[in-house]
Amino acid sequence: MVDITKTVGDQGNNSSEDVALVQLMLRVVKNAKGQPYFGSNYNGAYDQTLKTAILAFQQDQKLVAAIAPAVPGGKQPVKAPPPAGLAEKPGLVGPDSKTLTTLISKLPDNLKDIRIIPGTKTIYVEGKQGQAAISAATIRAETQLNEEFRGKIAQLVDTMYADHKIALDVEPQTGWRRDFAAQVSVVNKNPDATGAGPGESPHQFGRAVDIGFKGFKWVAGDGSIKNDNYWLSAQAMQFVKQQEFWNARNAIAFNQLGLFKTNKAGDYIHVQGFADEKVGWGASLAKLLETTSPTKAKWSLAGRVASKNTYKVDLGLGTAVNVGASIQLWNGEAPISKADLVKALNAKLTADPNFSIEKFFGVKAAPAAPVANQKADVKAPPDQKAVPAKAAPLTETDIKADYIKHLQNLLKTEMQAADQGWDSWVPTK
Amino acid sequence: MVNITKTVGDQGNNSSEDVALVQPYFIVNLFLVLFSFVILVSGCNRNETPTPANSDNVAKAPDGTKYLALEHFETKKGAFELGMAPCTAEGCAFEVRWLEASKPVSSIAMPNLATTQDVQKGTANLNMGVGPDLPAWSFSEDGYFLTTIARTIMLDAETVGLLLTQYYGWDHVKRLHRLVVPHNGNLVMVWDFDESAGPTWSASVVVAKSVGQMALFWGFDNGHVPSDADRLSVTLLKWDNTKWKFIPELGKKVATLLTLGNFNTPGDARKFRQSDTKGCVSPYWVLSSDTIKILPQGHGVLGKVFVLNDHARVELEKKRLIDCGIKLKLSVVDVVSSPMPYEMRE
Repeated sequence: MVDITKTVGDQGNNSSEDVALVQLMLRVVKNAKGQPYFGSNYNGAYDQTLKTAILAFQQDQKLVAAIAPAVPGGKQPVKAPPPAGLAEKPGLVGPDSKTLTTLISKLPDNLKDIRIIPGTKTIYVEGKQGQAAISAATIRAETQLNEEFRGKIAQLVDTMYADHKIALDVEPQTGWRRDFAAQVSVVNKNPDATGAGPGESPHQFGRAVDIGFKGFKWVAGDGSIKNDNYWLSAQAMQFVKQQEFWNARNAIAFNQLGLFKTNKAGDYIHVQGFADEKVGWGASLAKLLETTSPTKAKWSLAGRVASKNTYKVDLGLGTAVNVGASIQLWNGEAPISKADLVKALNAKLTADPNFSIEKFFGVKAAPAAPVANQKADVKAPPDQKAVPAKAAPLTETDIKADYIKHLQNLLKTEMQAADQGWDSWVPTK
Repeated sequence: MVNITKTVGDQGNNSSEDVALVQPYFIVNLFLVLFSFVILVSGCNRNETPTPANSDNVAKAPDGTKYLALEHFETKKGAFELGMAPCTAEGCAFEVRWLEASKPVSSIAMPNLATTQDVQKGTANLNMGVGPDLPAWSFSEDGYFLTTIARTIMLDAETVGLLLTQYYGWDHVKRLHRLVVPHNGNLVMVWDFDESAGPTWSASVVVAKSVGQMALFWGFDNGHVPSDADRLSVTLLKWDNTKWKFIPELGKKVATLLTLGNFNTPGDARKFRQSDTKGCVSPYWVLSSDTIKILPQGHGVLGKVFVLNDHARVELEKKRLIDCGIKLKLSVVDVVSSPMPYEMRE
């Protein structure tokens, strides 16, 4: 049911949102000649044209006295006697007025539930309560979101509907939590479509969603209904008007529920459970890798190469080794430098005489040379190549390709553990 | 899935049944099949390994807060210069300066800010929002990158403008476009286009060899409604020197579209695209044949637009797809100019 809060018309309160609703109704309701009473697009600004339109509607509906037409050269126009029992004020529409109820009764069915948010200029059609309820229930049941966060997001859906009758929902394609593999898929599909590698997107830790407008219908100036998308970008709604709807969502999300926006330009749909200022994506992934590391490895952010974060890790050697970008880690293709590795291994061998290179690389050392009277038939298992035990100083030629592959696989396992342990992620700068 | 048995086309086998299969195809508001062929695809291998920055390509501000010149564009009446303004508390802006007699007389700052003046010179592509192979200046930090690309456009015989694109973001990326023109010694922004919210893409491309013409590419991925086709348009914009604005010129050939496959519905095309995790066909848009006049209505194809007559890129794409191993029909059709997706100002 269309509702206006105060009077519109001659000497009325004329708040812009009430004016817009009355303008729109008089735009779509036609007179006996099939012409709209209000011939312009609604804009929320009261003027004489609207007063005339209200009056014409009231007169046609016999809600106020008709004015007799002037006769050329004759007397001034005179009011016809008002219909008995009506107390409508000419040119004025009130919240409880007969003029309003009559106007509403003549609206087409698809415009009977139009609304406008106070202080805004765009009329919309009420969303379906069932849609909002399904959305909230789905979010509450989504265990791939952090428990506290999903509770707040569901509350956002509930409150948005209660306050504005607008249904919100998480955008289904990429709006939920994405695991590391899903992020890799995004990168593989189009490396220019994201800067974030696996473990570097805010969507990977269950504390961010893209939550937009579900089945949203807004009304253009001429009364036509526009079916828009989650981002309000399908029907050429003016940017400032889009912002009014985002602001309505944000007032609940950020001011009432303590959620956060992202500072990334244009990403209005995104809502997260932490402040951007507290997050470095590389530092946070390094922290998560360390927290979830099966080998208790020490991870840190190394820097940036070609717009990508790169990482380094101390795998118990006492010296961190550069291991490349997160997508390389995930793919088992960490670009480990033999020179870096040799340097770290030699330092470790010097500091720890008991350190075993072979154990470190997951290969079995060959037995010591056979002594007299001992059979030299001890062999490594067929799947493990036996190598002579090494001691410092190593050179790069000592680092075999399968040693590097072993480390690459180990680092991939570290990434997989971080993915599994996503809920241990904490914003780190 | 449509399949042909042998090659069709120049020096092909050209059996009548294969020719019949490849003849009747496409356009996006589009017409004219230029050629078609089948591709064989096997195991797409894309190596996105970051490469170390070349120190020759790194521009660093000497003291961090001085003006840093990046790129110079000479014209008959003066020169444009793309640079970085001295950093402020808000950040470090890419800036266009207009120079007369080598002296800066006017400047305009671009909207998005870097946090330092450390930028690297690279090469832009259509994904970033410009025509291929233009110099690009990129700033990046953990969680944000910003690339600015500038190129001149002849608006009329006397007037040269500087067209700028910023490509930026992190998890999601966006692009915006600005055209600045010197007028009575002052730089004036005469045209702009920003991507709206959602999975959008845009590119502004100067039409080579044509005075005052630019093509605006725009796309919106409708994957949130899996049965629907994506939206894709290219608008040819012609500079009107009396109104000082771009006017869309509709119906003219403006770009080239590569189409892939012939699916029963756009939804089927989308499913095929989603099954590709290696990036072989995922850069393609899901298009409805309703916008391709020669196809039966309601079918779906995958499509990718290229800059006008950019056959080199088409050839590269063909090679990429051949590397991917699945038999699909590949066709090249003309794209004609259609209306702007939306206007920045009403």
